Amino acid sequence: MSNETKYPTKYLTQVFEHIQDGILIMNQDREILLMNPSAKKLTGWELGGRVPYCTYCQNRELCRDEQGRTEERCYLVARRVVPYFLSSMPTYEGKYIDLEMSTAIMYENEDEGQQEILLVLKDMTLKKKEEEARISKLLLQKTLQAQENEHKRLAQELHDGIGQSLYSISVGIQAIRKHLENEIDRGSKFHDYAEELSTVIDGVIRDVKNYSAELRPHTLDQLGLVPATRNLLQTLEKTHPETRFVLEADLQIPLSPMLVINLFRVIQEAVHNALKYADAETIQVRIRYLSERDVIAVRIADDGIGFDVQTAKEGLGLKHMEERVHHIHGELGVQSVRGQGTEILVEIPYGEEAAHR
Amino acid sequence: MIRVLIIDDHTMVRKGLQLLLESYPDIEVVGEGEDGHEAMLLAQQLKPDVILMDLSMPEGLDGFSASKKILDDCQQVGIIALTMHDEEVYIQQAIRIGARGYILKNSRSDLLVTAIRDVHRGRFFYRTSVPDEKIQHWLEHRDDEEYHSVLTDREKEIVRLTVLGYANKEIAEKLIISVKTVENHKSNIMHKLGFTTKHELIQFALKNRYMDMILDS
Repeated sequence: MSNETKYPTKYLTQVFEHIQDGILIMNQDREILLMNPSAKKLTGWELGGRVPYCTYCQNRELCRDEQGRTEERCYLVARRVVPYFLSSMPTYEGKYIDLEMSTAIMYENEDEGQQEILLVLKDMTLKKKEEEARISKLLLQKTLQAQENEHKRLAQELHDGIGQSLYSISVGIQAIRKHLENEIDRGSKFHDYAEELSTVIDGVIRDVKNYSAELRPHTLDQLGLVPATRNLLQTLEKTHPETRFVLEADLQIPLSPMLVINLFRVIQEAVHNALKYADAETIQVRIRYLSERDVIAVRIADDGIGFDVQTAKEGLGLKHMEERVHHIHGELGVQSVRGQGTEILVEIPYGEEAAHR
Repeated sequence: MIRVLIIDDHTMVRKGLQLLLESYPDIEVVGEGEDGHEAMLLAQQLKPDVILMDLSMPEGLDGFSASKKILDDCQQVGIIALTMHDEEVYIQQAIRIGARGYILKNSRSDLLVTAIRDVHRGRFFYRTSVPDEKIQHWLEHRDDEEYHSVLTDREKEIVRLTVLGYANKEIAEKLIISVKTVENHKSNIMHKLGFTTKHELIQFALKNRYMDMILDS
C-alpha cells in the first residue's frame, strides 16, 4: 500500500507547510534536499546548502569502531537510540539559536550505502526565556529572603551583642566617675571627662538601637505587623516632631512571617520616602483586612508636595516596593498629585493558604 | 542599707554595676547571677530588697518569667527591669508581671540609684520614652487586664504563634519540639477551650491579649 492512499497528499503538504516545527531532509553529506517554511524561517539556511553541526557535535569526541572507522559526527545520526537532543545551532546569519532536534533515517539504499536523514527542529528560545525569567524571579525571592535573614542576624548582634557591650563600658565609666567624685578628684577635669564620655556612649547606644530596629525590628517577629508598625511610627515621631503620624489598623487574621516582613518593608520604605521627599504634615498608615474581598489592604498616604508618578517609577524605591509586593502576589498602586500629596495602595489576596505562604 | 541583687548575662555589666553601686553608702550589692534560674535561687537564699533584672537573657530563663516566679513567692521584693528595650509592649509586660521599676540600659547612674531607692520605698519607678501619663494609666489598670486562663504557658505560646501565622512546622522549629507535639498541643488547646475552628481561636487570642505576650524573649 502506497503512502498516498494511507495519508492524502494534500494533508501531508498542509502539515509540511504549516507546522511550527522545522522539517528538513538532508543527505549524508548534510546537503539540504528539502525544507519547510518553518525550518527556513527558523534557521535561514538555503536549499542546497549544508546543515551545520550543533555546538555539541562541533566539539564532541568521536569514537572509533573495531575497524578503526570514526563514527559520524552528528550525535543523533551516530547514536540512533537518542530520540531528542537539545543544543544550539548556528543560523545563516551566524547567530546561535536553541533547538530541540530529532532525526530519523528516511531512506536507506543498502547497495549504495546512501542515506537520507529527516531532521525536525523545535524552537526552544522562547521556552528558554521563560525558564530564565522563572529562575531570575526565584533568585530574587531567595535573595530577598537571604537578605532578610542576614538583617535579622545583624540586628540581633547589634542589639544584644554590641549594645550590651557598650552598656557595660558605660556603666564602667560611670563607676569610675563616681569613684573619682568620692575620692580625690572631685570637680577636676577627669571627672568632667568621664561625664563627657558617658554622654558619647549613651549616644552610640541610642544609634546602635536605631540601626538594629531599622534592620529588623524584633517586635516584628515577636508581635507581628501592627505592633511593629506602631513602634516604627512611634520611633519616627520622636525624631520628627514636626510630622504627625497616624496608624489605623484592623487586621484580625493570622499572617505568615513572609507576608509580615514584606508588608512591613513596604510600609517602612513608603513612610521613609514620605519623610524624605514629601515635606508632609501628616503621614497616615492604614492596615486592614477586607473580608468581603478577602484581601489585605495597606495604604500609606501623606499630605505633602506630591510628585510625578511616571518619572518616579524609574526610581529604585518604588521598584523595590513593587518587587516585594509581587513577591507576595499582590498589587501596588501609586497616586500622587502635585501640592496635594501621595497615596500608596497595596492589596494582597489573602485566602486560607496565604497564611502559610 | 538597701540590699540589691544584680541579674544580667553580661559579666562586665554586672561588674560595672557592682563597682558603681558600691560608691553609694546606702546600697549594698548582696549577689549577682547570670540568668533567670540563678535569679530565683539567689532571691530565695539572699532575700534582697531590690533586684535589678535584665529582661533578655538568651541562655536559661528570661527576666520576665523569673520575675513572675520570684514575685509569686515573695511580693515584697522590688524588681527593677534594666533593659535595652524601650518598646511599649515590653513595658506593659513588665507592669503586668508586677515589676515596680523599669529603666533603660543607657540611663545615668543617678537615675539607677533613684530607681533603687524609690522602689525600695515601695514606689513605682518607670523611666522610658513612653509618656508618664500613659504608664500611670497602665499601672492603675494593671489588675483589669489580668486574665485567668486554663492554658499553660507553652499552650499560650503556641496559640500566639498560630495567630501570628506560623505554620505547625515553623512552630515546632521555633520551640524545638516535634511537629507531632505541636499538633497534640493544638488539639488539647481546642479541646480545653471547646473550640472547633481556627477563627474562634484567633478571636479568643486577640480578646485575651495573647498577641502582646513576650514569652520567648
